[in-house]
Amino acid sequence: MNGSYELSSDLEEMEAPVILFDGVSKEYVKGIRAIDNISFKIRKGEFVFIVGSSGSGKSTLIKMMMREIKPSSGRVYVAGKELSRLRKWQISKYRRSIGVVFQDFRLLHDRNVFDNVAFAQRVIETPTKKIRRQTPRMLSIVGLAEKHKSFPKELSGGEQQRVALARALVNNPSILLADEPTGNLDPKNSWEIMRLLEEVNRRGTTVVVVTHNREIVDVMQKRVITMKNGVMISDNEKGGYIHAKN
Amino acid sequence: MPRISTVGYSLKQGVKNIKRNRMFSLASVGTMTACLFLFGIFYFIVANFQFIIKNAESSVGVTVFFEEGITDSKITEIGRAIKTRVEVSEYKYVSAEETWENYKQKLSEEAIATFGDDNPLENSAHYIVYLNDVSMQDALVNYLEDLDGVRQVNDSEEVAGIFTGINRVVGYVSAALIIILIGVAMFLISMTVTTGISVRKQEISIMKLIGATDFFIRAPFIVEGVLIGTIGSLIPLGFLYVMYHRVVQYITDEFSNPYQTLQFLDVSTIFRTLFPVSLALGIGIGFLGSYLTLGKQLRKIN
Repeated sequence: MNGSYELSSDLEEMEAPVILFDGVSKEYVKGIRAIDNISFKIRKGEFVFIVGSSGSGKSTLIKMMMREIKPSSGRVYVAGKELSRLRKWQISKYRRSIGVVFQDFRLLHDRNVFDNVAFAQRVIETPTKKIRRQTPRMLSIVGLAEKHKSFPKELSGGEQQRVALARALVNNPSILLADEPTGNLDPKNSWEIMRLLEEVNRRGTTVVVVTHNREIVDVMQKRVITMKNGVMISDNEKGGYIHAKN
Repeated sequence: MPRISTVGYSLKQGVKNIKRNRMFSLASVGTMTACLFLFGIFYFIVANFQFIIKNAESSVGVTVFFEEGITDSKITEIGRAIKTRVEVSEYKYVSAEETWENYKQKLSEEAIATFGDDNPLENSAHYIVYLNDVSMQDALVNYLEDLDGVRQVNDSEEVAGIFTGINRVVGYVSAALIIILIGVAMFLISMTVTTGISVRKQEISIMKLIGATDFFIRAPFIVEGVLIGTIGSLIPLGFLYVMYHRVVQYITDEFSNPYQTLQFLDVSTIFRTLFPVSLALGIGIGFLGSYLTLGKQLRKIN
């Protein structure tokens, strides 16, 4: 599965990839590769699961897409931009085109639901009027309009993740990255979040989900990229969870 | 150019930081207050000392004696030459008769009687020249000695040396004290901002992930530093204003004498300089303390 894409021919395709990994490797410690020569492309509007056991390199892939880290070799393109070439001031602008959801929600506990979602807009300097209009709309999409005054500690795990999702989506990102979004949730809440992610994808957002949840991957029948020990061992267009043998 | 809403948000967050970080903020404001209070006291002493020295300097004169048989027109010419010098604040002519009359006051009746109608100080007509700055005395004396018609120039080199020396020491001590105070205050502001950043670590990390600009992340901390600096300079200025007024009033009432040897600068003259300097120091220290700390601390957060 590893190898290099012919970049020129890829870009000529009708649907250019919105995310492209081209022979990407990462060494955190010299000589030890966290990911090794990874190449894949994700087209606009796709829903992709990245699966694999702990230490397989899934999180490294997500961190590279967020431009938290740079590859040691190879190139990562998102929306046509090579991320390694972004200057410091361009990174913040780039991140505005991406929504991120984490396993631990990462909400601000001293602010209520409304303010947590408004915060994402405030950070990118959205006018206050627009924030007042967009926040309630986004909260009703994730089913939390009634709880806009509640603080995170007053919400269930599922509700907290929905707030995180609303925060990630409120700025209309073209890509949504979800790192183990159901990792801390019970099955009922996990399915609610996945249904929301599917709805977001149906509206045109490219969704990349890193997960351990076999049931969800098997049932949803989306594209699945499987990682093992830093190497991509499969990329199935409509697949289930593959358990990699050691 | 940031939006007005962003500026408002940064100000609000800066105030929130101070409240959230109450103990450290209070410690910083307290230290800043103490530093600038000391600075103010020191400034009072230095400014008044220099004022008193300036007054004393103006009483230190250079005496210019003329050659024997000099004409009145030549004396006037020398007077004109003295007038053109920038270091001269004032000069006056004292005739031989006036000199003798003044000297007579120091002698007994018997001693005066021995001179009869003679003037023993016949050749003592002179100019007394007062200076703007006593450190310029040497240059003036050299100039005067070279003038045609001048026999002798008497200066007060020792007094001039003492005043110049004191001025220099006061300048060095004040510079050293100010540098130490600035260092202490900046360290405390830096500690406050560091604590503020560690408290808001998660928030900053989320901000970075969702695309906040560097300005947006830094602005509340800069506001925090500047606010601490502003409050920390306004409090001591208030105290100092009231204190100076009362102390000067007390000293003037209690120790006044007909010769006015103890003269102080009035409060408005002192504060015309002290207010903007203290405020600028407070704001500057607050800004620099937070700005320099931010770069270092924010790099540690992903």
